[in-house]
Amino acid sequence: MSNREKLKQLLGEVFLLSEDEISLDLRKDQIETWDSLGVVSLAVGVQETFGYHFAPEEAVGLNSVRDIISILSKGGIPFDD
Amino acid sequence: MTEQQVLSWNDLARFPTDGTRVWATDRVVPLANAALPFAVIGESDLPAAGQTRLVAIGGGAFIDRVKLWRREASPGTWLCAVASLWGSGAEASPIAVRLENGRKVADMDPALRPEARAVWPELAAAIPERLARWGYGDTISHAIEAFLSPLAGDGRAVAADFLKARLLRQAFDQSPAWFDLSAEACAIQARSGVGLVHGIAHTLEPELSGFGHARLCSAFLQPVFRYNVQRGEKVGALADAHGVEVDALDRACGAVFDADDYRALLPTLERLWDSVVRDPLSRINCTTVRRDGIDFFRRYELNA
Repeated sequence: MSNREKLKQLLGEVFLLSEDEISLDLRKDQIETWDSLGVVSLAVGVQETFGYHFAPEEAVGLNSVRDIISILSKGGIPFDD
Repeated sequence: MTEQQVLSWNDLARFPTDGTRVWATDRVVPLANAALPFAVIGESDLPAAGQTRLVAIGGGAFIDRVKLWRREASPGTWLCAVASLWGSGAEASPIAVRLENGRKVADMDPALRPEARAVWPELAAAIPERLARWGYGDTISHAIEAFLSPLAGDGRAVAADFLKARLLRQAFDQSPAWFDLSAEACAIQARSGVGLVHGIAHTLEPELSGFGHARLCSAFLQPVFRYNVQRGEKVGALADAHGVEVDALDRACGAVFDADDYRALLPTLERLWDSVVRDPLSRINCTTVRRDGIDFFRRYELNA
């Protein structure tokens, strides 16, 4: 499974989205469950899936799925597949 | 928040009789009447507002009810809580759980925490064995979920020390020591958070009769612990980092596991799994609670 597919699956799990709701272009303000609990859940899920531990300021500063990809890419997790 | 006073039973008995009332769950009213020199009322009565001192004696649900009453009706009343059963830690907590539209809602407010708590040692022996064991399960759930919580921060080390130095060293028995351990575990979880065990218990409890919070925590503690362990390296890494043995945690969880309860509860868990996944406490579990996670609990049942 590619990292994009892994991220999509993770977004569905942590933000409780159905498959047709998930897109890598989503922003925080478009996801009702991307609230303070969602931030915690996302951080846990990213660590499980990609082994990357968000710093607290990174986790609360995320505003879109693109932001997640950007941070993970800088952390050495490729998304160009 | 100021520190809560921890009083001995003798301290309590020396309060002035004038201005002190005891509000107790019905089971302990006769015992309280015999042991204390104060006027005692039962759970169906309400004390007069404006009381100087109130001593509440009962289980977690009763103490939560008293805490909510005091905040709304008599905020100037000094409150001392005495648990008649360990587990909930309500006597030490700034949280009160109430039912709202069939759902359990946790109200967190420093004004809810009693100014003092006291242990009545003689009550320990009066607790029915099954209730005592479920209360032990609730206590361990608080400590382990607090230790593993992604929100624990500095509280993780506190929870680890409590597990290593206190909880895992105390074999389960009907010792009054469990009143203090329960209160301390509750204070630790209030600082750190809980997780899927409590997400399951809060979701299932309103749907079931005969299965209270502590019994549900006891039934799901070991399955949830093992769910978290098999999700990845996180539990093992945290345990290693803090010198806590995973096997010791698993044994403590297993001490309260009841296969018959688990089998009886599994159909309800399956029916309500989507709600469990959405529960706020499940969403702050130490591992991701997946929508297909119910498969693990089905397989667990086969081995139970």
